[in-house]
Amino acid sequence: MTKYSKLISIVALCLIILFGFSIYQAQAQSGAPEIELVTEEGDSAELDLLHTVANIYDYASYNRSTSYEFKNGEFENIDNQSVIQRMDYTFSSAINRYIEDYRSFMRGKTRVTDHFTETDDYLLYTAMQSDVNWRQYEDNTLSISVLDKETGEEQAHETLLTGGSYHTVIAAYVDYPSITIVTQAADENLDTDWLIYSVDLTDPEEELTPVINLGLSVESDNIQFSSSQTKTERFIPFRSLLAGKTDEYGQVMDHTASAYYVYDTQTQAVKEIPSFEEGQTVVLSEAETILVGNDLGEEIQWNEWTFDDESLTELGTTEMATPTIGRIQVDYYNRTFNQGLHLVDHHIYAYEDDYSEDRSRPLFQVIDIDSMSTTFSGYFALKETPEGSQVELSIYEYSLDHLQQ
Amino acid sequence: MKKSLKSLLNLTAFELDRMSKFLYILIGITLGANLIGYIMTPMRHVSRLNEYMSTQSATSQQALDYYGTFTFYDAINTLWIAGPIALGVSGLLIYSLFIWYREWMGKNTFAYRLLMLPVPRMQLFFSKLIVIYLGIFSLIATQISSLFIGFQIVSAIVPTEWFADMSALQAIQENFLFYYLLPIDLMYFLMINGIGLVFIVVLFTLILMERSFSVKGIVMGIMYGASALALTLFPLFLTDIFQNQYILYGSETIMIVASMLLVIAVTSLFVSRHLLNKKITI
Repeated sequence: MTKYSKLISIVALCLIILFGFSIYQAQAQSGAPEIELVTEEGDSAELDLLHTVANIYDYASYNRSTSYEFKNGEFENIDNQSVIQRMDYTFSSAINRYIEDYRSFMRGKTRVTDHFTETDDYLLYTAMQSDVNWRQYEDNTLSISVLDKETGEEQAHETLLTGGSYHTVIAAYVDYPSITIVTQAADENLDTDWLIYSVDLTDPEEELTPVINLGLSVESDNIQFSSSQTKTERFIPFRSLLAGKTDEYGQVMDHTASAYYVYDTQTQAVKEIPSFEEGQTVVLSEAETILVGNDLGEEIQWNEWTFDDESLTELGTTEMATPTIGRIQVDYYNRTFNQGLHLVDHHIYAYEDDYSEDRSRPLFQVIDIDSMSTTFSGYFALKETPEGSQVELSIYEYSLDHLQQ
Repeated sequence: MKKSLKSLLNLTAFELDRMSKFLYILIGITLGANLIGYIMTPMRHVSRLNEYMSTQSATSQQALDYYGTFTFYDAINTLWIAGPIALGVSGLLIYSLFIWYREWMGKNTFAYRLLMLPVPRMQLFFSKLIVIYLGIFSLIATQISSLFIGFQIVSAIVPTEWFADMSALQAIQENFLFYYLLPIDLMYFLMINGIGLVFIVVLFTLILMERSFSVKGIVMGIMYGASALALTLFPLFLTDIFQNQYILYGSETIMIVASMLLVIAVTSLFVSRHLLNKKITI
């Protein structure tokens, strides 16, 4: 036995220390900060469409943070995922669901939410070849794949986009079998263009020419599109930006919205939305509806704008939870705006990160446009805030699962 | 079966006995260097704050505002801690070569006696492999113990109001090196040790090739090592072959790499067995 004593004692010591450390760690980690949804007004069930990942960052603990996924009205700590699960995880709840439900369809496709559009019957993918093959960045081939969710059948097409190069797909709007694709591209002088293409999936062409060049159409050098959660609307809101002040080196410091427009995917016409004398303009769209708001800070006065006769019908005014909720400041280099304000199923979903000296928390408000009332207002908060801690709560990839209604 | 296990234990105990002095030195250096780090780093911070207070006639709070609080993370994020780890890794790597070549050193080669033992020759291979891994885990266990003792030392040196409220575990988890070396995430720990295990198995095979075929063996070893590396990294180039960055899911890539590593390990074991039984010369 003596000749094994060294071997036995070293093995025993290693096992005791390694297991001890693992047990100690498991016990210590059970105290990870927990998060909750605090309701200030209305019913928290109104937020069931919201899919997002909330991150808790403690300044006292440099690079350690806790992440929770908020889905179907519940929080789940995603730090507990195994390495294998983490390998396939993305910070987009929609992409995660597509990978889980349509793993074969998702193979070889990007993990960018903007490249996917989902309807009740189809999941559609539109992205450039260069998005999956990074070496071919000059490739102007657009890949379109359509998955029939019921039969599992996949239709794939490749088509060459003309009228520009280095395309980036901003969004694809679906009215099956017709698709409207919005891209940002470079012209021959490498200036930016915003092009719209139309595809009929029953007879897809090998080469597509743009239906309209929006920059030329509205005579603007900078355009942003309204962020959409459904991408099934007929009217696409967009805005032109005007360069503001320049710094001492001649660089433009800020941009302001100069005008708001709507593109009709059916008639392929563009119309400008009249601006208000006082306050900012907010434009949202869903199905055949165009909602135009007069943003007065504490409240927004909502109107429905009719595309054909360009008339404005007043719907009512809603009090906003904060003077800035939903109206996230967007930098001029962003391709989209309205990231914090969406119209889904006749409800306006507003969001913002509320920063103050001692806290940071995501705020949410849901407004029913039929009754013009707030059906939910609340925020994410820590269940218990440790004394003296400086905790920042923020969210990634805000998305609304419009098919969950 | 029982007999062969006993002979493997005998050989392992024997190899451990031969390595123990080297292992104790590594453990001693780790503990010694860590201890210096646990004392010197916080003392330097404390003296800096005291000096600031005396030269600037500042209050404790003003000194704290200027230099900030001290955390255990600051104490372990130094060369006093990282240095012995690097030394341990490189030391055991060199010992992996030495554990074989020592048998052929000197006039009366000990390899002759070892290979003549009435036990399966692969037991020599496994006993050496087990001992190297015992060395690795001993150093990991030493480092874990040292960290928890170190936390007590650091908190005793730094006045409470200057010491940030961060647990030993938080500090360990935030250290990049420890995140991969210690069992913080079990899967990462197993993956890294699995890769290390395959690396040592391949290294042992290369040594046996050299011992079996001399110069020709070195060429064979280089080719074998390069093939093993190419096979391991092959799945990472599938995206280039298919010209699609998303052709494989991350989990699939990991599983293919793990399968490749398993194939390499099993092949290396078979090659080593063949070399030990049929080719090795003394």
